[in-house]
Amino acid sequence: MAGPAEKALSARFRAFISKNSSGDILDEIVAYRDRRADRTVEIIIAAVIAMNLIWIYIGEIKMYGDPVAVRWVYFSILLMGVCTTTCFFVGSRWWTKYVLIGSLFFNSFTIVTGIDYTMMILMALPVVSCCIYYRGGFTVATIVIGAALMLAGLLLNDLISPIMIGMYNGMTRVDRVFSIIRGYYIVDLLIYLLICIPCFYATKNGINDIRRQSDLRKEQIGMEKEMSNARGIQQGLLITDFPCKPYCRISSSMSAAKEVGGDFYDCFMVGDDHLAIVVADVSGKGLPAALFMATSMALIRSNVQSGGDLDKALEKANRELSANNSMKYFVTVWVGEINLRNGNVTFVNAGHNPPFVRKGGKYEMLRSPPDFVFGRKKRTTYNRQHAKLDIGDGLFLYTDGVTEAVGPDGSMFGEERLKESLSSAGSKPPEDVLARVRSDVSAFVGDTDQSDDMTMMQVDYIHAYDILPDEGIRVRADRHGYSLVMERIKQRMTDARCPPRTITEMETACSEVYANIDMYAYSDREEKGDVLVTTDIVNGAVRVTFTDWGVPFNPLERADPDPIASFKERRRGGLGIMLVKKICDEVSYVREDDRNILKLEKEM
Amino acid sequence: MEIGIEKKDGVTTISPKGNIDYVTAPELDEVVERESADAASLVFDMSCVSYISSAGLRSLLNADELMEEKNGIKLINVNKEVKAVLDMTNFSGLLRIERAGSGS
Repeated sequence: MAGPAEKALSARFRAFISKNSSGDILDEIVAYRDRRADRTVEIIIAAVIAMNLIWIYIGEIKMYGDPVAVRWVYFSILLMGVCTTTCFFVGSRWWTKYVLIGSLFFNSFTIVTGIDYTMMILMALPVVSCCIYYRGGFTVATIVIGAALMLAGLLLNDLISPIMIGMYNGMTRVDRVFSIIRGYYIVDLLIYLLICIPCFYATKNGINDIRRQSDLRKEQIGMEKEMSNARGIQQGLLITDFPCKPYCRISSSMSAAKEVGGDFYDCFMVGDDHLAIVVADVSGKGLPAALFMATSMALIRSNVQSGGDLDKALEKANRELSANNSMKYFVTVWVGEINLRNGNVTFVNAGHNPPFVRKGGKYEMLRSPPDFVFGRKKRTTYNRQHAKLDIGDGLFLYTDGVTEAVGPDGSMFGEERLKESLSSAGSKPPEDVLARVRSDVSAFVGDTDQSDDMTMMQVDYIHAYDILPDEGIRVRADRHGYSLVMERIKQRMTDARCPPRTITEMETACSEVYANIDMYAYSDREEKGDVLVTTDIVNGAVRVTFTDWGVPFNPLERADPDPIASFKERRRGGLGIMLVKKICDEVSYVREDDRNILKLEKEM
Repeated sequence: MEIGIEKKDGVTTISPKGNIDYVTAPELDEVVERESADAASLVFDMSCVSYISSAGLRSLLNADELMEEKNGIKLINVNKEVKAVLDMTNFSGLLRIERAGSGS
């Protein structure tokens, strides 16, 4: 592609243009400018060809030109034609600009030499043409070459053109040449240089333009990258792995209108048997809205999760948020808490769109008097509302980006269409319901740009959390007790609808813990003591607690075996407790009232 | 624990059924010790094992050591849960694990 000369030139050019611009962007801009300049010069040459022909035929130049010289002019016209056509079809290459400018020079030179040296000023044409390439060196070189060719053309003309010589009859060649130089060259050279001054500055400005453009583009690319990073972080805030899988089936979707948006949803356990769901929409869009969203989300979660009444929790979060809200943003929020034991829903609606409740496959809007928006006024009070879900019922939450999606005719998607769309999905799984609404909205919107963030969340209540607190099983810590305990643990987890994989993994972990207790807890006495085991579902996780009355022993203090140690070394032990730690999300040990209490926890 | 044994061309296939834990592992050790004497290689068919604890892993280690001079041991039909345990303890890098039927 680029020849060595071009490479050397563009390297200098690049160094000259910008010290910190990225090479790729600069190359891109320069290549674009070169393409445009090539096209322009090709048009100029086409005009020059036309001018030459008119001049030869209508102006009858050939009458007083030397026949050989006129043939040279013809040749130069032909050469320009060939060069231009070639460059046009080959496209922009590193050499095309030199070929184009060179052919222009050749044409001017043949005219000055063969026809009339008073046309020396034609040498300014290549200079004017080359300055649109925005290359300092190229422009300066062209100016110098042009000045030299003017003189060369003049002298050569003197040698070959008898007509001109006739005008200076009787002078020696040297006198004649000096006379012509004084009379024509000096004047024309000054005019030529005058024309070159704006050309030189045009080139310089062009270079500055390219530099600025490249810097702007670089900045823009940086911004775009930052935005997409911000989007990544924001997406990361939104959970996709929902808690309490056995009891609720949940699906969510969010698409931001700009790179980052102000919508959010959240879903978390409150205590053992309550599930909180949040859908919210921050006023405004873009980065500021996303920042406000992150703060709001964290405040709502921390306050609701700490328990207590929902309205009080939200009021507290609101006070904290509005105290530092200098930009006057606000959030519309719908927060609900589902009691997983009986399906009772307590919710607060801070100026948000009312959700839909599905009962027996039919969706109805859950209307309630909305409270004031969240995060704007310190002294806002919120009211708890109530609803009830039965097994199989669902709850559909959304932001106004869904109902206010604008179609090609300017109308909005609206609540009626949303209800129809939901009803046509009926009792399908949450993912399918959301997919249905999404496809209906995009069919309605057509090619119109998405104007607002669109967030949806569907929660289906599929099983009651009906496992009661475990009073525990107490056995003698031996092999007989082992099978009783293991059976009981498995039964409890099955009753709580743990996924099979979790059950098997927890069984493995519990087996290790029991083996440890059997072997070490009562090693100081003749007769073995007891072990008490309880299995509970806490915060969407299985928790198995082992209590024994043996010698103080914290298995967690044992070092993990070296994973790359030899087989023999591994036999020394520690393998079992390493397994327990790897399987469980949390393992804790306390020594209390002469008892060892070991707790294992794993998300369902 | 029920342990199936099948001998064919010097290859002895041992198929434990149920859980391999600290209670059942000694039974497996016994079988392994007995069979390793006259088998050219030992294959453990894990298809009926629902979980394996560290005691079970040690049994596999014993077996591997007993067979070190011969063709070693091999596990086949390892289910996801057992594979997870082998991975967590890095045993999967040390023991030969193969899918069923892919030669002996």
